[in-house]
Amino acid sequence: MSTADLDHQIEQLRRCEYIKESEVKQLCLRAREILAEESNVQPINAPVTICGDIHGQFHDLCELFLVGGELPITNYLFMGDFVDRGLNSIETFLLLLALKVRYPDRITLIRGNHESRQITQVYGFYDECLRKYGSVNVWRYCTEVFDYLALAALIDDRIFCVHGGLSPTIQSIDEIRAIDRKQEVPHEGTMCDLMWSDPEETNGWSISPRGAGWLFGRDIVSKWNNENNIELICRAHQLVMEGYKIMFNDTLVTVWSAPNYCYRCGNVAAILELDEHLNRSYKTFEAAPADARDPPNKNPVMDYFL
Amino acid sequence: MDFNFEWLDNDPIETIESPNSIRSEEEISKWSTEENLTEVRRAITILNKGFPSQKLSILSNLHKILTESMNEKLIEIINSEILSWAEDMQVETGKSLRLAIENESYPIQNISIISEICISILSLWSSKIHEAWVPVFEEIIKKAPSDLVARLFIPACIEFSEYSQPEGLRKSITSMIGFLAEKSENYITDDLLKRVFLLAQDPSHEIRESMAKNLHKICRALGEEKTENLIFEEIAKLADDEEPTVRSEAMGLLIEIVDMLPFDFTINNVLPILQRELTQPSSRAVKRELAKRFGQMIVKLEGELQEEDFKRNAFRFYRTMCSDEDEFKRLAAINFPGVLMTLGPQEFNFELNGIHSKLCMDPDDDTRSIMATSLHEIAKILGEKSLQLEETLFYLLLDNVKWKLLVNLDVVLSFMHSDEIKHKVYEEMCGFLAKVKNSRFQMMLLNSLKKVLKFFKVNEFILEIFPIMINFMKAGAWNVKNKAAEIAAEIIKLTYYKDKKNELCQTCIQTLCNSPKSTDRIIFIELSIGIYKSCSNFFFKKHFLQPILSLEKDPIKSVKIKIAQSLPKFRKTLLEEDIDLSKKISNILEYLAEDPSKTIQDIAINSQMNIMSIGYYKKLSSQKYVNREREKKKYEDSQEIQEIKEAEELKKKAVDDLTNKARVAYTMAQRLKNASNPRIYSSTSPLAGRNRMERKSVVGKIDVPKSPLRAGSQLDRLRRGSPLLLTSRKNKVSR
Repeated sequence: MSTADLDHQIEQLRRCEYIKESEVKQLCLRAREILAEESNVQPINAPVTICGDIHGQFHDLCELFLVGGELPITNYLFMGDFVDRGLNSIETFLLLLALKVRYPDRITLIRGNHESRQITQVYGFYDECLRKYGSVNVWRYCTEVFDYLALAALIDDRIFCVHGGLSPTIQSIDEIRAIDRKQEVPHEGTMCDLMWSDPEETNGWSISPRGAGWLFGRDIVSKWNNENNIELICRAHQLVMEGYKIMFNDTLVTVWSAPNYCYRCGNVAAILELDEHLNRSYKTFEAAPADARDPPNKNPVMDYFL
Repeated sequence: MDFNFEWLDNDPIETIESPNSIRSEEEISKWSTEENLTEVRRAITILNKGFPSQKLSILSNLHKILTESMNEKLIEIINSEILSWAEDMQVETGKSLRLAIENESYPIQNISIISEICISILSLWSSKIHEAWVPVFEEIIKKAPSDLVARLFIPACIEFSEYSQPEGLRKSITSMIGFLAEKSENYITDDLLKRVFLLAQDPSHEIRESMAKNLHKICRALGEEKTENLIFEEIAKLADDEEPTVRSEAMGLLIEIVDMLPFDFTINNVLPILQRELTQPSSRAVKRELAKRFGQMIVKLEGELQEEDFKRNAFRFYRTMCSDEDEFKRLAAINFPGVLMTLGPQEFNFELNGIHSKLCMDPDDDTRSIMATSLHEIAKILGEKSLQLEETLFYLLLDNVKWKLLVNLDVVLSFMHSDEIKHKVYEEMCGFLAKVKNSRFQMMLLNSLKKVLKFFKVNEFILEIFPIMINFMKAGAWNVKNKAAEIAAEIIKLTYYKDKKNELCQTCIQTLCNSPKSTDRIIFIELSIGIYKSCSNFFFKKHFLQPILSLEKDPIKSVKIKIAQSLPKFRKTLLEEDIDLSKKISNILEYLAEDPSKTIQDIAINSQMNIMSIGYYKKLSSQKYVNREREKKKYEDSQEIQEIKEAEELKKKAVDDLTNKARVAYTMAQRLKNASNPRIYSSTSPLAGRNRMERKSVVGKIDVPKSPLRAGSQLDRLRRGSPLLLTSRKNKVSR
């Protein structure tokens, strides 16, 4: 696939246009090759802009790029949950994937709990593929890519980024590096916990109401950060009405990047900009306006008489 | 389509347990198709062997699939099988075929086949199918050759308009006759016209209504005479119909065609009908239609407004709209520019001004929003008299509908020749800029600001707006940063004080280019692009080129990428004159092309190729480019003249002030001189009624020039342009 082809596909996807099944297959193959080379805990250098769940809200992803800046100038880290729930999971995931193939060192994608064969059958991505392509081939290609996504990222060795949270089965980042990640998200174990766990304003570990992962408290975060020389855990996975939520004395932050989640929650979204000195700056944004969602009318109706 | 969207309504907090929806591997395999098929091949496979929902998916995406070549086989399958498909599949096919014909992915040579299918499909009884396929018919008529239309569609319209045909089909035929009329008058044959009359008197009111909606197309096709002699009688009947919705469509029809009818005919036949409904609307639907099209009506009937009765009734109707329910007030607001345009700006001094203010201050948000959106149109119509809009302008500017007003604020201000108003607008905008935190609103403000900047005074925007732009560039969202950079470049361009201009450039270099934050350095490059576009090469090179080149060794990838992307844009400045710098740019790109980052390498190589391409040289040496550069230089030269002119005006003013002061002092001295003669003191003199000693002490306190030469020397200094004056002028400018 040439750079020109790729640029053409990115242009098409930015307009939320359909790309052919054969092109999806090629793109996914190329992305797999690139992702396979990445570590389970992908190292990233600041400055970087960190984004939370997108959930197929394609037009809001475009809004995110407006606020956060365009690739390749802005270096992005997306912390998973690209698909499901929204109406444009295919376009969302393929755009991110095409950008990854085009600018592999300027965008990092890590896996969320929705990047899974089972979850996508329940929450919409599977149905969307069937509806838009008439077969599940595209769903297959995409879910195969999911298995290659990194599990976490580490920014300048100081900020640990993961979709869900921590796991009681591991004490160090090196233990994540040792996982064989090229598999479907299991229902239990370290890999599952990293994608399903949530922080809780308590101490210690407790059972998660989600049926997977754990709830982890302040002391767990403090211990993890001390032992791994981490200053901040950055994660997504939970809806935050204000777009981001800082916890445990600024040692953990949840970033949520799907505004008006499910087109009805009324929340704002946020991204976290880290500069080269790891100074943090949160940028919030609202859902894309209606005129950015619909194709422009060929004969627009005038607002007023003249 | 029957896909379920249950997942949209699921609880936002999801759990891992949901075994009911998990498919087995076998089931998933059933929904897969062979890999490596082309889109067309895959569509054919699914249409032949797939499940109904898979077929539905293919049919709803036909307009995309047909863009691929070698699609004849697929079209053949559609043509041969469509009539046997289920209703939902036929509906989806109609919707996507319309798009395919519109975007020309459907092959034109097959248009006759699709035309026949279209006619067959329309003969079905389903109203859902008609809704989806009537637009296909419209697209086909636009593209089909005339002999095909005459051969297929006119007979079909005649046949399907018979009473024996289903109601839904007869209704669709009314639209189809409209499409035929739009394409050519020749299609409206006598036989077809008879059918039009039958449909206009159809027992079903929905069909009469639909015919009334499409009749104006037939009138336009047939022209004035036939409309007057053949069709108008039918229109009058429709206007008198028992069904309110038919009457309301007939009112719309009358307004639509009134401009093509002769004056006398309109006065005698159209005005009475309109006047009757304006005075006493026979139903709410009719009133709504008249309110909706009021502006259009009076613009078209401008000549007929000489009829005092009609004019009086029309404006009584408009006045009632303005104090009616919100729906009618909104329609009054939409139609206000039309009313003002017809009556002329002179009428604004009377009743219309009151109506305008009332609508602008209406409690209904939508009404005010419409007024804010159209204020620039009112200003255009009022022209010089736009100053009367001052009150409403500021009311709307402080209201929550201001965002609508801001879009065209520049047009409004261009008609308001008042420095005071412009200054007030400036102050309001500065207030908004300081207050607004939401990036979308910031963007709206900045877009508006960029357009209105030219109306403000240079000193104003240097002092207040420029620092705000610097803040936006440092801390805003990226779209805000970029827009602020554009405005900052515009401010630098518009600033005609040389010293100030240099100062602004230095501020940008210090706060952005030399900033420890990489985002600031990136936005500095963006600002430089703005400067490069709006200022001359000479200016750009003098102030911005070196700082940009100094970023070549920046440790941050983002900055390197921005540099690599931007350098080709700047190269023209060095093209002919400075070979060293030209080499330096090439060296920077070569250096970046060897960067470990693949992205930087790619962009740098791409930029190198871009710079070396013939197209690039051609673009830069084109006359258009040269002319643009010449204009920029001319503009900057004119700025120098403007600065000198302003300095001279200041100087002249200072000379006049000093001359006046000297004259006053001299007069006072003369009076004091005469003070020794008590007889000539006036009663108002400070020395009046004092003795000689007292007079001496008073005189000592008054600042009198020792000699007339003292005042003269100050004047001389001014006239010579002494350093003292220059300092005072500089202070004044900087103040």
